[in-house]
Amino acid sequence: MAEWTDTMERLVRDRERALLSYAYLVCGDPTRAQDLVQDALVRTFSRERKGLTAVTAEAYVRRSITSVFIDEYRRGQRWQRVQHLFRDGEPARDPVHAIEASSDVHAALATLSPRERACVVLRYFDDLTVPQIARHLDLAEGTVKRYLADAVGRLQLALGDIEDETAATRPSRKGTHHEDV
Amino acid sequence: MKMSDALRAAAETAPIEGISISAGAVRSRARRNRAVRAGANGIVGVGAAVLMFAGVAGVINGQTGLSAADADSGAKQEDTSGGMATNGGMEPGLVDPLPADTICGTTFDASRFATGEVVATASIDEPTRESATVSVEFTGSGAVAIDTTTYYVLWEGMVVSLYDGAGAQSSHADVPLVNCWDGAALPAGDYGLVTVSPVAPGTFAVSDAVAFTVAGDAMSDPFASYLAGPQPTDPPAPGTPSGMPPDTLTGDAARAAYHDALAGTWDMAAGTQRVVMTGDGADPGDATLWARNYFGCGMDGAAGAFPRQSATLDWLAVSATIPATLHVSYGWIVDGNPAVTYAITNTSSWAIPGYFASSGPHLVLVKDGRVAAEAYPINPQLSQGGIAYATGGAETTADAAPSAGAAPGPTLLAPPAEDFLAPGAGVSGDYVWRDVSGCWTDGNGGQVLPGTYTVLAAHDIYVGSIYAPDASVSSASSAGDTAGDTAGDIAVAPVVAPVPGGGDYASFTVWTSLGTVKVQN
Repeated sequence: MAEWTDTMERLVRDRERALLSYAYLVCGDPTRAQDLVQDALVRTFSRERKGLTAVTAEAYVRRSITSVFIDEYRRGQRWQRVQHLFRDGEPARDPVHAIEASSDVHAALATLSPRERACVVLRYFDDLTVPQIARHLDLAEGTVKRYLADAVGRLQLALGDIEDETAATRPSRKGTHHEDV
Repeated sequence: MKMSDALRAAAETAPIEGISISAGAVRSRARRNRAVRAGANGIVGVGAAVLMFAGVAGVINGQTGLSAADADSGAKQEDTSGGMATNGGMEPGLVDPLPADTICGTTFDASRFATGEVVATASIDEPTRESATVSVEFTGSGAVAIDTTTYYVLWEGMVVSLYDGAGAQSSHADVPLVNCWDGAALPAGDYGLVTVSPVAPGTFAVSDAVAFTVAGDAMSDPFASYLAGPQPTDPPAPGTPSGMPPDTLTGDAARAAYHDALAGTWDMAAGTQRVVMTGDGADPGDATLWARNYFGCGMDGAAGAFPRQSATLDWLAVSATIPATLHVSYGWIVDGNPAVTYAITNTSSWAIPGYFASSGPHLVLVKDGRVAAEAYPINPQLSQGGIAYATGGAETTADAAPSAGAAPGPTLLAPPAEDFLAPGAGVSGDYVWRDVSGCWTDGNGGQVLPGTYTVLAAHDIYVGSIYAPDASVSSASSAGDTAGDTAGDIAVAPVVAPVPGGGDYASFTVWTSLGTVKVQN
């Protein structure tokens, strides 16, 4: 069996749940998370990457999950094609009520738009800086900042003060100084 | 609360029980993509890339017995591999895949196939220039599905032809003697033929190579031209697309025409039309252009106005018969589904590329200058998700054939080339308008409220000259691997994407006002 298939199968066997959980954070839908992971795996293993191990492959797959998510969102510019993404966020029609019913991070995330959600996951789960997120999602840095600011505002409504919210104006955790990170 | 901690906790409690990933499906799709990459080296031009994909996918299908629905079949293989019957009659879709990297131009390695009790012996009749009749005999215990046998023709040990035995219902098959690169007849020379037949999960009956000769004057290295590998080619200069009709609308031409034809505000009067640019490879702000020029249901509950910048361009003539009144209840049209006869004609002097006639028109209902609802009349004769091409060309193709047993559908004629709508060519069809999706706002809960709406039809046009199957195949690869391959900063390129720096692409939406419709609840 080819080396890459071994690596891929080991990754799926050992890290399936972690990848699905991450994809769920990104998209908020379990079935969609399954598709995202599947597509991200295909992207990652569709080309030869020398020295790829199950560990390094996981990093590729995680990045691909957000890429696939945003790419599909971009392709589906028409509302008709993306409305299901937003319907997950139906609480947005009355976010406060929804969150009062269940002060839950999942419900809070569901109030965010797909791009906001992707930015939040990359910023707070993956500890990426704003420039890194902008590069990864092919967005302007200012746009990322706006998404993050809007998202944090909504999350704070639901979850109360977010301690690391102010980290957005501090040096990144990776030690790189960015004035507006 | 720390957001990072909360997210990690949320990941721990993600409701993913019962959800799993099919490694088999991933393996199948990735293998196919790898084959495409290998086969499409240096191919520039989206049409060529698509053709190459079809060709290679066909090869892989032939090898593996997989259906085109790779993901499904991959999962099916995985699920059923442990329970395959060995009493004959195995279904082709249920066999274990053959090693997918044994493809055109590779050395055939019999050791890659695990063998079991069944031994295959192939024999071959005197071949003609076109085909060879091959017989396979099996001895030993275990049954073999004849119609899953794959026939490999080898030249000096290298696979130069393969045949999946499609349709073979006996141990005899007429193997076409054509190469597996472009289907040309095998040149004169000495060849070997090997058969590979799945027997049980993971095991195969592999015959020894049986020699045969194609008569004639043998060349010294008849397949050299196919084995040259990726050839460095100069990327086409922006604005000089390759493999396209000479009158193709290019990004530069479209961009210039658009800027020359910019007009003021649009009153959306019936029969009028505007073109909005939604993507521009020459604009540094391209990443946000589509969002700035988006006209549709609002993503945050508030629909935007029609883009401030639009042009009057004579590119497409759009006509449609729409009803005067719609009775809508919870998004469904309840007083019978109106028929919408729809026609589009390329009225420009350009061949419009990237014109993909969708399976139905895209309509929006506008109230007070903002989109209040969207609708997608459908063609019931087309299979779901099918794409139809229509009218006007010398050739006729229809990618989406009417579903089996369906009544004859509307006339669908094809443009000369699948991706181009030639000057004067058109698309037409009869559609059924079944539902209307109201935009979500704080006030209407997604319902389409009674009232009179302006109906607009939207058509997307993409013009672009330079594509590559993978960005790394193009200029990026010459400077080493792409930046996206470095750890920690990963940007996985799409399979087909504009070549970085190509620049000459632009996308547009053609908006046509079809008049008004009165919605009643």
